[in-house]
Amino acid sequence: MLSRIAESLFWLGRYVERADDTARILDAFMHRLLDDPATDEHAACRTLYAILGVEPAAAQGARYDAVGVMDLLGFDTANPSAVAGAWCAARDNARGVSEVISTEAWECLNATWHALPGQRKAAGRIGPYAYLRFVRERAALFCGLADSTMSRDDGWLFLTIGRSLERVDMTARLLSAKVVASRNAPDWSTLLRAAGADEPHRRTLGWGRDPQSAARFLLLDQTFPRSVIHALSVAEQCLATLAGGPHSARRDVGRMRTMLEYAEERTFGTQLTTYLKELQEGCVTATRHIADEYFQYSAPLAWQHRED
Amino acid sequence: MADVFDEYALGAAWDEMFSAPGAPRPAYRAVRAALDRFDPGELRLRADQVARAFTDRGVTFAFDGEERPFPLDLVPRVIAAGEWDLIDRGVRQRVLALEAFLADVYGPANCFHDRIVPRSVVLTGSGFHRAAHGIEPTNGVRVHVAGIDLVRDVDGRFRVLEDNVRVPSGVSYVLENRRIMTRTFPGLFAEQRVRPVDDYPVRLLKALRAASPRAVADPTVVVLTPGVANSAYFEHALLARLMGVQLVEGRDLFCVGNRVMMRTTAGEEPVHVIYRRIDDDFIDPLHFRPESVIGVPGILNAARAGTVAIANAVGCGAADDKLIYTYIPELIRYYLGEEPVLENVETHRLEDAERLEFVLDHLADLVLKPVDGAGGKGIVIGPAADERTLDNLRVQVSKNPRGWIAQRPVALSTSPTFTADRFAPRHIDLRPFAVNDGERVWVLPGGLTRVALREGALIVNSSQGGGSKDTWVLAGESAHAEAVNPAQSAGSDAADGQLDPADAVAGRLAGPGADGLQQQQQQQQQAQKDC
Amino acid sequence: MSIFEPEDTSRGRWRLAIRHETVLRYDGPVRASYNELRMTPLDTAAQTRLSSRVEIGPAAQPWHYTDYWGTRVTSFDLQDPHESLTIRASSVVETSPSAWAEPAAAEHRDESWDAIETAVKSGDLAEFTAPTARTKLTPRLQQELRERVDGAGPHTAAERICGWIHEAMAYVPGATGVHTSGREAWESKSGVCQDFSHIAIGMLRAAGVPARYVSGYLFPLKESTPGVSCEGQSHAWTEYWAGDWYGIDATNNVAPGLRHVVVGHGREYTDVVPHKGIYLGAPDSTLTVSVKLTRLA
Repeated sequence: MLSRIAESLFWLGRYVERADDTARILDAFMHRLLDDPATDEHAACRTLYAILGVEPAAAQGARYDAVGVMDLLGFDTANPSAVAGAWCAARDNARGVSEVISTEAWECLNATWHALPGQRKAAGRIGPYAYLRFVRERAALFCGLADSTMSRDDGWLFLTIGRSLERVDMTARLLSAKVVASRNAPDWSTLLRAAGADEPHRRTLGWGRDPQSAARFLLLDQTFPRSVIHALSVAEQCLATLAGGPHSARRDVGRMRTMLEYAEERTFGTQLTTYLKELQEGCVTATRHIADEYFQYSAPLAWQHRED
Repeated sequence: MADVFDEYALGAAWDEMFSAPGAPRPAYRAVRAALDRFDPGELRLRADQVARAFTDRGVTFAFDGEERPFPLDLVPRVIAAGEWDLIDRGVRQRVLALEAFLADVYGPANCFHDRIVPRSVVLTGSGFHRAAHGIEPTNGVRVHVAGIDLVRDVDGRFRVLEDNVRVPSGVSYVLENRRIMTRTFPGLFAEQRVRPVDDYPVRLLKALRAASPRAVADPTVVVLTPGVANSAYFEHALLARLMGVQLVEGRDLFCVGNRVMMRTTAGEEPVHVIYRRIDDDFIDPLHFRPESVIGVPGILNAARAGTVAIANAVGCGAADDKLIYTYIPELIRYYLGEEPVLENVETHRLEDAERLEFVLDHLADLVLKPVDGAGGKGIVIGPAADERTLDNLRVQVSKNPRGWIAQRPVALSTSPTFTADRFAPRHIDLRPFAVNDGERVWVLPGGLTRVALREGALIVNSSQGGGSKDTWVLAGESAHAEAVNPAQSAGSDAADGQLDPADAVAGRLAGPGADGLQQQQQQQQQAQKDC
Repeated sequence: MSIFEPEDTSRGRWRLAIRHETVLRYDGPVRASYNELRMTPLDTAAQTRLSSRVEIGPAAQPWHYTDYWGTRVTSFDLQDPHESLTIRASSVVETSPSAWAEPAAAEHRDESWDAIETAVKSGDLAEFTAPTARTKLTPRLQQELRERVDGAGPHTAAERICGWIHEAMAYVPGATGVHTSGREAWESKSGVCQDFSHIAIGMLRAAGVPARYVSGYLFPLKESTPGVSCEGQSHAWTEYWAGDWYGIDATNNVAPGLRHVVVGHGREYTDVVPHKGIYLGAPDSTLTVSVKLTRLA
């Protein structure tokens, strides 16, 4: 598989996941912002920006609000951390590899991209939920099509690794917002909903009131596909299947998985901050190692030319 | 219910569907009858469906930085079996003559010694590349893919308007148009025997494999694209997908010791045949434009060393210069000892002083074309031009007679084309595609029919507001025999079924950007023949 | 004295050894370097190549081919990072005296434009009659030229052009670069052999005589005996067509002969660049060139 294509697939996986996860987070936050008048809108928005690593270019002292959040994190096509931006980036990557992914998967990405401006307009009239839902559904459709129409070759592996690492990163970001800035952070149920985990969590653990149970579930549940440990296991398996390479990325991912797997029950609560930090850093390192091992190609920015 | 053909007014040009008002030609009877069954509303609905299908699939071309679908008209262009036979023979003959000419120009130069073509015509052409001298194609083929542009004159005869043997594009529209038409009008096909077009990728792959260096048993074929920003990117991706080969960019390849390798996740892998969709000027920064970052340095010497085949060969532009065009009938006689099956449009060469004077005096009655213009760029249609344009033209042509040819204006034939609520005549041309595998030249039954969507317009290029039509070649009586015994088929080659086929935690990571490359990917398409 | 009077009337041949060393020191690491050298003397009736060798450091696998102009090209690539490139081209050739040394040469001096006209009309010499970027003259210079060569036959015209350039231009190493055009050099009244040749080509073509650029080496000493070695240089001069190709060396105002070693021909400098290459890495570098010539016999 061409290194350039492998890299594009890796990022395609990441960006679709990012669009999906960001849409989920926005959805959960918007519910709270718009439905609960007691919420400190400015503080909640600031937390949200922090989670997604976006720094709004607002004048000092300006107050953040839900409309600004949707513009910046929902509709901005130039920012790959926004829902629309991530989708555009995914589609850009897919365009360069459209002969490798299946036609149906490509058409799904492309048709969605064409539909985004219309959906945004509609969101202006009927609120952001339909827009966010549209993106979530299209992301699900893409994943389903990829799952059912792509061979399980190296291309598939890179796509899945990208998706899994992004999922780990996003969940870790979500949790650290709660743990680090708990005062302005959403309550646990909002958080679970943002991760798509509220119902599975309830089914697995009942109506337990233990706040840590949510964190534990999002990190450690082996059966829930959006949990961190599950995503890590998937990424690890894919990396193991890939031929060649010194496997340093596999080591990074394996280290994160074992860290969680052998986490001590007793100290879990106090160690949580460390775990989350390690996860986010681990994702960065693993990505760098994957690039070093598999994406070794470069676009010459300029050939130096001489005649003597 | 109003008949959608009611107000169809025949002009002076040959009309493809009607020989007289209300009298469709035999080949069109079934189509005409089928279309009659629709009312304008239904047709509009289908037109929208078609546009939507193209957009969703990404069948677009880049224009002014925007992705636009290449509009597909609802009315197919139908070519009867007998007529197609003529085109098929004519195109094959033309491609063989172009091949022979290129082999001669980059080899023994007999046509110069025998005074068929003045050497100066080739030496001063921008498509003649001295750097390609001495590169011997393995199977003798330089023009693996050709697109020969034909128009139908007032008298109904097909004539060659120009040859495209550098990087002819547009075949993806032929394949996509058929795909969409069979879905949009399944009924239309039921009553006709339309020859299929989906053989093309297999034929192309076969020709590319046949071009591979001899020592390689199972050659690796790739499609080389300038990148996603190129106007024909969709076509590059489609062909790679349909042939089941890698679509690569220049940065995926590199040369080492005169071998071309590609960078894969499992290390370096050799490449043997490169179907390149990059212009000569950009393909090798060592020999051509040093600032090209979409090419592969060293690739030309790898071809010279015979370890890789470049298709089409570098330097084919020596043959599709519009001034060389005027010599093609002579070259057909010279190399093949045959009379041309398809005639040229009458063309004036301007190097002769008297001829130049005549042309300058008659600019208003002629079509003037720059010899290396592409995509309809720079063409001045005398009868339609204003005084200022002609004055301007006069200055330019007198300054550089070698840079221009003058042609009799051909009133391109018209075909009914759907316009909002009814059918109206619009001018069309035809670009058949030919694939040469070294043993035979195969012409795709169909080709790209381009239509000038503006009323009265004669320039059909996509960059100038053109659209396209699905092109149907009707199977003749011989097509039956063909299926049984392909060897006996007269002049047509239907498929025989035997083809072998930020790193801070707070920051977000971002994937690769295309910034620097994008500009060149677009830039080089300016020079490329569009469609 | 006419330039057609040969410097050496012995009619014997010389044997010359040439050692051309180019060292490029880049201002940083460089990789993916692709190069072409045009440094191997031609093997023709007038010049016999006895041996030739190209060595490259860091070690590379050179490959050879003959280009469109008949010049022998050495190509090589270097993938690994390196900070300097050394190219050493060595050869031994036998040179002949100027064509005019032949007693029969006087016949060739018959001044005739007919042969030229016929050949130009056929289009065969189109490459050597059209001006190029580096050989184009200003209209004023063309006018002045016409006055100077008016009424002269082709050989005489060539001789006058050669003398005029030699007189008007000062040979100043470093005054111009490889990208300077003949026109620019003429305006500054100074240049190197490349510029002298470009101006001569421009003038010959403007006067209706097909002309081409010659790249090669010059043994600088007029008087020498076998065994003498000296520092020489890459050189360039001009050939014009008048029934056959004849040389003029405007830098030295002579007809090329025993001291001139031909490497290749072209329309202008760009067709016979001694070293051209592209690479990734440091844009700047320091170039050191030394050419050593030894008269062996």
